[in-house]
Amino acid sequence: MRVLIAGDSHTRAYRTALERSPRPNMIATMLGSGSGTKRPFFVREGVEVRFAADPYRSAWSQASGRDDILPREGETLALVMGFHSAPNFRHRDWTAFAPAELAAGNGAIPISAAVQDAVALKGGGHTRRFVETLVDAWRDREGSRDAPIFVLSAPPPYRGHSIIRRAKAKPEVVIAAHRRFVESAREFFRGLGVEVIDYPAASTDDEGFLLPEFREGISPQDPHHANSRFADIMMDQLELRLRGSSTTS
Amino acid sequence: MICASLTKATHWGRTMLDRRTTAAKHPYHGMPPRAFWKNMARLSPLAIDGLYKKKFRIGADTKVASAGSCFAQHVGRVLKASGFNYLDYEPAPRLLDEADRQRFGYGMFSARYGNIYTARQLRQLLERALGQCKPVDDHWAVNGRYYDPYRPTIEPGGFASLAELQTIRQHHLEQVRRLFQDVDVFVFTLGLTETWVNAQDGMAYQVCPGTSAGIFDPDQHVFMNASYKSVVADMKAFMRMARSLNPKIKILLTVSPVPLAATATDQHVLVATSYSKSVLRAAAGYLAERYDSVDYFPSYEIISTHPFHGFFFERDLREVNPKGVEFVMGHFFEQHKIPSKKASSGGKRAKKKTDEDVWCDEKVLEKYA
Repeated sequence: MRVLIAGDSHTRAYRTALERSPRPNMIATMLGSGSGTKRPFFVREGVEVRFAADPYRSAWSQASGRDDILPREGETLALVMGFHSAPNFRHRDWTAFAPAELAAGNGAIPISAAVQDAVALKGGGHTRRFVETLVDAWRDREGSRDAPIFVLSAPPPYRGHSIIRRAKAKPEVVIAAHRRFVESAREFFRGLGVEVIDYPAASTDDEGFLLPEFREGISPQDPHHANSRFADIMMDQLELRLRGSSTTS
Repeated sequence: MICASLTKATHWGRTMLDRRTTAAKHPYHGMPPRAFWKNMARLSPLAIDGLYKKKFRIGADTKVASAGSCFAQHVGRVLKASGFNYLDYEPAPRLLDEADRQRFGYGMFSARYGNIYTARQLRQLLERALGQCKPVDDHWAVNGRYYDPYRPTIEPGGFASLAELQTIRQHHLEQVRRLFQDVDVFVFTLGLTETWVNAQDGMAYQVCPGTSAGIFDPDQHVFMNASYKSVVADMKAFMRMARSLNPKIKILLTVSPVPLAATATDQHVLVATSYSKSVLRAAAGYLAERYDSVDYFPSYEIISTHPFHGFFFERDLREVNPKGVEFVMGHFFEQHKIPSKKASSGGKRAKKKTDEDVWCDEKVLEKYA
């Protein structure tokens, strides 16, 4: 079994983790910045799906030795994209707005869950469409067999984020914004039949923020990335799930 | 018994006759060219001017708010884009993109009340904002989603919970109250006389229950076609409340030129439209005549009267095209000068907006045609 981990800038931590502690059959490739997903970044031709442009195209080609993104026999694709909630939770909107259930009585402007979902839908750029296209192409090629495609969650916000520390957004609002984004993405991917690897509860504090140990070594100016230890526990989760899949299949 | 008005008319007639005989003059002598139809009929429609003379000033510092039917969205948008001090007390989160803002009723008007088609709706909105009434029909629950009966499309697909609906509605009504406390000029476009009201408390719905949300119940949902008297009474009640919050408030009325999407009367929709617009136009005219603080801007006449040959309607003969909006606002800006050079899409340079850019709840009725 070969596991190809590929995605946005959160993938860098996976690469670092694997360089430090290699895992048999796992390769991590950062395709490029998450901003690359704001435009259509892939094309489907028949039952093949390719990245439309560099740097995603060349990074993928170098890592996999081919252009087609669909997993081959004995391969699993683990995508690190679609859960990048940071552009949402760190937005200054959250200094004025709050999910309705948190707004009552604290002076914030209440917004509905549906409005947050609409934001999340667009906030993921074209990643949802990308994964949907992969699944469609897989089914056209392989029939009803489940696509060996996973999506790995991005880390949650950390407590000392400047949106809280400097902009004075309420921590519970920031966490709620992140959770709603994640919930929306999770629901979408699971609806496609794609397995989602959530970050474990052990990686967060009681409020839901990323534990400081998973930010160690990261520049304080870096607004959203976690370190390679976070990547380690995510890969542990992925391996557990893969073992579960192979046991049950 | 001699009718007082007849006495007055006779007296007036005699006076004019006396004047004519003595000075060969009468009231039409020396009237400006705009007073004579013949002068206008000679002009190209686009050259017709002088249709509006302002009663009060709207300047860069004037706080302007708007509400009304679909057409009012054009007016509000152009005012905002033209650099007027246009109030928006329920702005969208910036995270929400432009299309979704409209879908969720943000930025359509000065608060998130959606289309207010009738004088009754406007009156009850302020009554609710002031805590003077609480509708019997509080919410509609359909398939686990919750709808505000008085703005059922503000959250497409409904609210996730009753608590969410109530929290957001409370905030909305607080903002409506603040808006009327702060506004200098409130622009209101009267759209319809036909409405559906709750049988128990007479509260007017935005659209017929069961069309865009909710379930129609003939025992609870009653059709009402407002008369002139009723429109004037509702507007007067609204104005009393608005003045109690803000004694200096001024009101600029317009009548929507957009015909009814459908009528619930037994009339042809064309005849029903004519009734509706006539009543609203007469009521607006009366209020503007009666009150110094009320002005009337003739967008209705500019778009829908025959000297303009229907130029300003889209092919459906209903939606107003961008040229129409531009022409209407050109007349407005002749009297209320665009305050800043930053203006980019107002007046003569109105952006090419189409009917897709305004959200018209009443349009839901077209699917039943």
